[in-house]
Amino acid sequence: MHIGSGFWPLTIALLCYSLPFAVRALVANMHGLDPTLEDAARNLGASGLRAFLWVTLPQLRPGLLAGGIFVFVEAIDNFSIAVFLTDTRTTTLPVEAYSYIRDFDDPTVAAMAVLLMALSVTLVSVVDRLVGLDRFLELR
Amino acid sequence: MLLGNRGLLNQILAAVGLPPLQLVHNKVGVVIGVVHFLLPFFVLALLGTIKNIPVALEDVARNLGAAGWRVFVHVTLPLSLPGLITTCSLTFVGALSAFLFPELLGGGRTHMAATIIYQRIVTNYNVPEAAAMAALFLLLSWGCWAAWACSSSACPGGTPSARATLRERPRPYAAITAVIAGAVMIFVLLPVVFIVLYAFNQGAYLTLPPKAPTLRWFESFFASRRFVAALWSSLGIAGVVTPVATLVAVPTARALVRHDFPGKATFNAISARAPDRARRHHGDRFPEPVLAHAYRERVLAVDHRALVL
Repeated sequence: MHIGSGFWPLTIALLCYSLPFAVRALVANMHGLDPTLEDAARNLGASGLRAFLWVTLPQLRPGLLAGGIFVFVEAIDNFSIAVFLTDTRTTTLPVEAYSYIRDFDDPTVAAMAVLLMALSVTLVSVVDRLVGLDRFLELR
Repeated sequence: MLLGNRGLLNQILAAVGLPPLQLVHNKVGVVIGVVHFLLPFFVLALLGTIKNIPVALEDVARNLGAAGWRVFVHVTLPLSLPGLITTCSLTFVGALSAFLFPELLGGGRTHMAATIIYQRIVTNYNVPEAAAMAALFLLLSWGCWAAWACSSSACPGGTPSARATLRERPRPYAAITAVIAGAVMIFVLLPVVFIVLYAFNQGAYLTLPPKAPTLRWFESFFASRRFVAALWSSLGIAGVVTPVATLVAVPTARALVRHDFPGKATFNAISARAPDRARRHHGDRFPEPVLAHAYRERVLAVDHRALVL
C-alpha cells in the first residue's frame, strides 16, 4: 500500500483533523444567536443567501476568529498525523523538532518552542482583545 | 531536561542530599508527562461546567449554615457531576491516545497504544497490523463515548441535598482550595518557565542559577536549513488549512444548529457537543425555585427586548 506524502496529503489530512475544531467554535457561537433575526430579514424581502451573509455572518465573527485560530494552532502543532505524511522534501516543525531531539541534546528545540509559544500567546491575546476569552470559554 | 537523570530535579535533590530519582524512560515519567499535557484541558473543560452553576446556590447553602466543605460536597459537586463525567471521559480518551510523551519520556521501554502503532508502521513497516490496532483503539474510544452517553443520559444522582445544619462554622477550606489551585498552576507552568530559561541558556545543560542569556540557540534554529524549511511548510499548510476549514465549518455549523437531518444526534455526540442533553440535565437537577427564578428572569429579558424593539 502506498501512502502519499508531501505538502498536499499533509494539508488534506490536517484539514480533516482540524475541521471539527472550527465547527465546534461556530456551533457554540450559533447557539447563542437569535434565529428570528434571520427570519426578520427574510420577511423584509432578503433572499436566504443575502439574509445569511448580511445578518448571520457578521454575528459569527467571534466564532470565525476563535475557530480559525484553533485550526491554525492545530495545523502548526500537530505531530501524530504529520509524522506519517512527511517526507524528505516536506516536513513540519513538530516532526523536525522530534527528529532533532533524538539526534542532538541542545536548546535549539527549546528556542523553537519559545518562538511557537510567543506566536500562540500573541494569537490568544488577539482573541481575548477582540472577542473576550471569558465569553468564548462560557460559550463552550 | 527537568526530569532526566542529570536534569534539574535531580540536581536539586542532589544539592539537598537526597538520592536521585529515576524519572524518565519509565512509567513514572510517562504518567507525569501525560498528566501535565492533559491537566489544562481538564481544567478548561470543567471551567465551563462550574461557571454554569449559579453562585447563588452556594450562597444559599452557606446562608443556611453549611460550612464551605459541605457546600462543595452537597451543592457544587453534584451539580458539576455531568460535566465531571464528560471531562473525565474526554481526558481518558486523550490519555489513551497520548503519543508524544510516552514516545519521548518512555525512552523506548514504556509503550502505549499509539507508540506501538507508530512503531509497527515506521520500524516494522507492518501497515495492516497497525491499521488493525488503530481500528481496535478507535472502537475502544467509541465504546468510552457510548458508555459516557448512556451514563449521562440515565445518570441517577439527586438534586443537591437541601439538608443543612444551622450551625455556624468557620471556613478554612478557601485556603486549601487556593493551595491546590496554586500547585496545579505551578505544575502546568513551571516546565514552560524552564523551557524559556533553557532556550536562552549558555550551554546544552540547564544549571541554576541561570547565567547571562544568549540568543545562540535561536541563531542555530534559523541557521538550520531543515528547520527553516519545516517552518515554511508548517506555515504554508496552516495557511491553507485555516481558511478552508473555517469556511467549510460555517455551513456545517449552520446545518448542525438549524436543520434536522438523519444522524444529527450521532454527529453531535461525536463532536462532543450535547447542549440539549446538558440543558435537560440542569433541568433535572436544579431545584424548582431556582428554575422558576431563571424562567422569570428570561421572561423579563424577553419583555425588555420587546420594549426596545
